[in-house]
Amino acid sequence: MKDRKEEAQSNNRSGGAILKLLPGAIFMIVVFVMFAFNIAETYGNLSEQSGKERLRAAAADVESVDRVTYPFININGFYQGVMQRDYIYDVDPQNDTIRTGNGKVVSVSSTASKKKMRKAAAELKKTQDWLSERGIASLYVQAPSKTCFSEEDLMPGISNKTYDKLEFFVKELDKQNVTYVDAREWIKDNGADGFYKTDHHWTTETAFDVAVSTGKLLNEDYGFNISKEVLDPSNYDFDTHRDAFLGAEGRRTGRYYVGLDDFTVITPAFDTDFHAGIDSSETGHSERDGSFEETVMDMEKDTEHYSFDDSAYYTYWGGDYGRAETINNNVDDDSSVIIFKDSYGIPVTAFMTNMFHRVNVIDKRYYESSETLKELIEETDPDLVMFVYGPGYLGKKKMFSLN
Amino acid sequence: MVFSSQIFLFFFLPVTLIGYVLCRQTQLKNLWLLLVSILFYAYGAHLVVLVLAFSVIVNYVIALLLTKTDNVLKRKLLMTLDVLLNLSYLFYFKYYNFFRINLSALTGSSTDFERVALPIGISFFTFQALSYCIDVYRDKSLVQKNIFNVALYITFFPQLIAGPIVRFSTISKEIGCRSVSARDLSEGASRFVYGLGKKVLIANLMGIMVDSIYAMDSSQISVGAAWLASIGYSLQIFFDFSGYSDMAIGLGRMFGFHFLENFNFPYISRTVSEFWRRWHISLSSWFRDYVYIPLGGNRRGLKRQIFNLAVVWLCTGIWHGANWTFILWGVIYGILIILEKLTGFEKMKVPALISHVYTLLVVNILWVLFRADDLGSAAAMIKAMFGLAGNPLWDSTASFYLAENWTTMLLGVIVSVPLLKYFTEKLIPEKAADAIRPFAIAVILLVSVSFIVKGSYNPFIYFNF
Repeated sequence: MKDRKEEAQSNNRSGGAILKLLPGAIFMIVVFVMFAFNIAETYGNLSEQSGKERLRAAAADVESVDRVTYPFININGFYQGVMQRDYIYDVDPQNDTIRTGNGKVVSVSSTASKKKMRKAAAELKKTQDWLSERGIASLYVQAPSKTCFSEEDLMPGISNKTYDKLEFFVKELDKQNVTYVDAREWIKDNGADGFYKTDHHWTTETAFDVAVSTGKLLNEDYGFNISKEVLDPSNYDFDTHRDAFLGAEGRRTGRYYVGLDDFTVITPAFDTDFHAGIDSSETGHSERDGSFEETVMDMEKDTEHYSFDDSAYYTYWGGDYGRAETINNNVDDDSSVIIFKDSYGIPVTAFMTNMFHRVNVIDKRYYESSETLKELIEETDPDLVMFVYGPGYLGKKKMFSLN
Repeated sequence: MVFSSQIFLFFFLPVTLIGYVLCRQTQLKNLWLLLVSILFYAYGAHLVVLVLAFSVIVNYVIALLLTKTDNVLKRKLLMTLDVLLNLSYLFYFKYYNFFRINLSALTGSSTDFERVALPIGISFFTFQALSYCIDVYRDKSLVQKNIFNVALYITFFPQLIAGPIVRFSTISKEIGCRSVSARDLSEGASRFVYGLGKKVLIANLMGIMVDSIYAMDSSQISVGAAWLASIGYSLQIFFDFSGYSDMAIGLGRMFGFHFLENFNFPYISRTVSEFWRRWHISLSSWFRDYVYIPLGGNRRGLKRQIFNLAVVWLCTGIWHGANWTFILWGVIYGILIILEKLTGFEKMKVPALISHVYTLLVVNILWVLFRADDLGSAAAMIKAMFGLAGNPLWDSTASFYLAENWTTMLLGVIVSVPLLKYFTEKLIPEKAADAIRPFAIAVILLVSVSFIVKGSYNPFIYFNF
């Protein structure tokens, strides 16, 4: 009996001692694991450098913030959520994020000067007039962001500059007689719910609705003859993956701050046959032949699991490219369209490739060809030139210029 | 290099620990710690490390010379020389710009002169070095004949740039012989993590709010926002500085050194005098032992005591920085402490609530003076706090910062009083506390690292002193 009691006391003592040593062990594990990651990565990055360069690079490397960060971003977001902090600061203040009342994360919006927006609208009008003189139809589709459906402040003390900016620009387009559509009209039923909670872009479903609405408008008002089959949502497969997407804002706040988004892959249920050429500043020119999925989509993107390294949003086209061109072999009416877009236009333009024989998609931010856009238009002789821009470029005149 | 950085946590510290374990003898361990301490200081400071080297050599040589002679006059001369040398470079690096600017303002001459860069932590290591020589002079401490040991005492990286100001007598034995048990390592690590959490999870977040409000046009700051900024700064400076001290004490423990405490819940004080017995204890006791008592302390009558206190508090203000705000801050504290002495305030039976409110109010308002860039800005902020600038009572800025920071402020208030200590020591069984502690340490560490890795606001206020 006595032996058992002593044994229990001894066990208690050793258990207590282990508990007292545990904090130190935890600290050492974290510090040395991170140290090991640092060494492994720094060594890998420095293999081609020598001497002082290597030392400087090693120091910079250890200080860099892009290593082993993802679990910590999740921890950070969880803590900020627990502490009810809706404004998350970033190293770069432009990347500060706000959690809005409807549980979505938005970037702190920036304003654009009214003078610049007026000039941008004038440049768009000038471009449309130039196209009109050549008998080419044109249309500007104004994409909103999720904060553009209400003028309410993003949070107490933080005004909704994006809403104000978009409202001003749209009024300016009216004043200057620009042919445009405010896409909010098409998607107002869903409003902000048509956007990812962790990304600034609209969902693929919303983008699909915008593409279909654009197609219907072009048929009704522009005399196009886009197939009804292509404009009918029932002819598409909608494959929704639950909690599968972490958008650009979400990658700054982690998966626990507002949760993950569902991601829907929309593909034509009808037969498709494309030839596509893509100019990438990173990989050069590439050509693809095959179905919609094999040419316009990048099916290697993981759309079932969230990732900090990649965006499922780029399942369409594979990313932002300077120029992409598709020939749709199933549309034999010689229709040709050029679409200038930013990232909001990625899924929209992808869906629109089903509507026309030839589609050229130009992203002026990455367009590097020696051929000017005017030359491109003269060479391809399009029936329509479209612009699809989100609220980020409203004050940027050059986005609407053909030079 | 700051403790709450990736380079320190995930490179410097593990390398230092590995090297320390590999060195078998104490003298080798000391040399290793000296080497890494110099690298720690030189990182980002480069040639300023020569100032540190000068401090080591001067104090080592003079302390040695002090033991070579019994001649009272010679010893006094040597001690005077040591004080003059230490204070001269402190004056040059810390106060030269201030002196020139004020001289220019008086004479109307140009303020266009080459500014002297302030070596970080100069006030800390100068006072630490001075205390060594003074203690040797007073025969309170044995001289250290090994220059590397003196160098380690002055440059040891945990306390080098923001204290606590460690006396040589506190660690002289440990420099010669020490051991580090697993328990030391664990308790040191726990203390370090606790300090890291104070710094990263409270001080830095308060700092963002405080800096933003202080950057506003003072006429636009509502009464609510001004109070949020001042209370926020009271929390920021406490958690910034006491967090650093905790990290320093924890690191010292991890290498076998036992530093004395630097803070003892100052915000529970009921008088200003008590506040200064609990705040930056190593500095208060330095001034007490090396200025106040040598001047006569309270042994030469009340008038002389008042004079001595005035000198100490003027010096305290000047020590904190080369700016009239610090000088006035020190003078006001001096006046308040003298008044408390004259009225016997500490012995009066003032209701606890009133005395706490009085102390916190005074400390909070004086932190405004401490934080402001100049006297005009301090006055403007204090006017805003009391609605004397025609400013509104509340505005959307105040709503924003309160909504964002109330949880952090509440956490700050809870941690700045001995509530957790009471909880873990009195309310719950020791075993339960032991079981909770590793979990708490892991949470604080991981969340703190998440802020560090993400990269955010991360200055240390006391590096400037």
